[in-house]
Amino acid sequence: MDHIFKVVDASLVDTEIDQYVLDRLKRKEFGRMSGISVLSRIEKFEKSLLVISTRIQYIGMENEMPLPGVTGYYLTIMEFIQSNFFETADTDKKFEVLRKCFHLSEAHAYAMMCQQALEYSLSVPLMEPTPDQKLKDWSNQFLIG
Amino acid sequence: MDFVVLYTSGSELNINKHLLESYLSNKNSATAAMKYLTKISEYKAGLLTLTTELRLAVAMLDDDQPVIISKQTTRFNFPDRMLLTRGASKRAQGILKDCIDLSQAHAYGGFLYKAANIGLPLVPSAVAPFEQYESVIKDFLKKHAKL
Repeated sequence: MDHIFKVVDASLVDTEIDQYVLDRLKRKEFGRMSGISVLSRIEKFEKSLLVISTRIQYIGMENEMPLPGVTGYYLTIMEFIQSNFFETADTDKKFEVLRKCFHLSEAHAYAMMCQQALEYSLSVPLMEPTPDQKLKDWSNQFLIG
Repeated sequence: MDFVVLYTSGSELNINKHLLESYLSNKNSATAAMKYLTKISEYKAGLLTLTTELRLAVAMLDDDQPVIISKQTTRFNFPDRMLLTRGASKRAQGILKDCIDLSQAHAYGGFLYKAANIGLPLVPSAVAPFEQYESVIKDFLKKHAKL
């Protein structure tokens, strides 16, 4: 991967707070039924730059409904050494590279979310890496359209 | 999945203010780079702890005196505790390399979050080549092999 792309930026774009739910999360009212929900997508690939957005919601579950207390929106930008990588690489290589890009993007976002959790006096949430099948689906949306 | 990330936690940024001012006033001519050193701190009962030291180094300055240093700790939980104790298989090596990459990405994300207000120009970060950590990974897997 070291000769294929480099990460040129990772940032917190926006944060939305539902104060009522946040207060309930702080009071641990949801018990074990709290955690994070992660959703990533490729925003664009333009001029060698791949932009991936990640939304992480710190949620409590109630009546099987997710209630977001904190929603963070994050961006990671990767610069590809070869601008035609997605035209020339074989399919397996493209999936392998996109899998790594998604994982890194989610890791950047998760580190920022953990820091925000501390600032909001929330316990630091655990995170399961997104399963490969879901990453393949997200990659296909980008590669096939 | 093979593992869950239990948490990641970063230190405060250790900033050399003198060097930072020098870097920011010369940022158009200075070349900066993120340097990482990841160590496997502990593996016990399916819990793997990695510590990554991140240094912002600037080419025009003495590399031994980095502008900023921070440390990030990430703890992984392996539900299958034997996954990393079956020797240096390709799969185990790949999983450990993924953990190292994630730990370094946590360090980069945490660093940029904390550095957002000090006017740093964007500093790229690269994924470490497998070869850089190959011996560390193989040594760890051999040491913990229970076959």
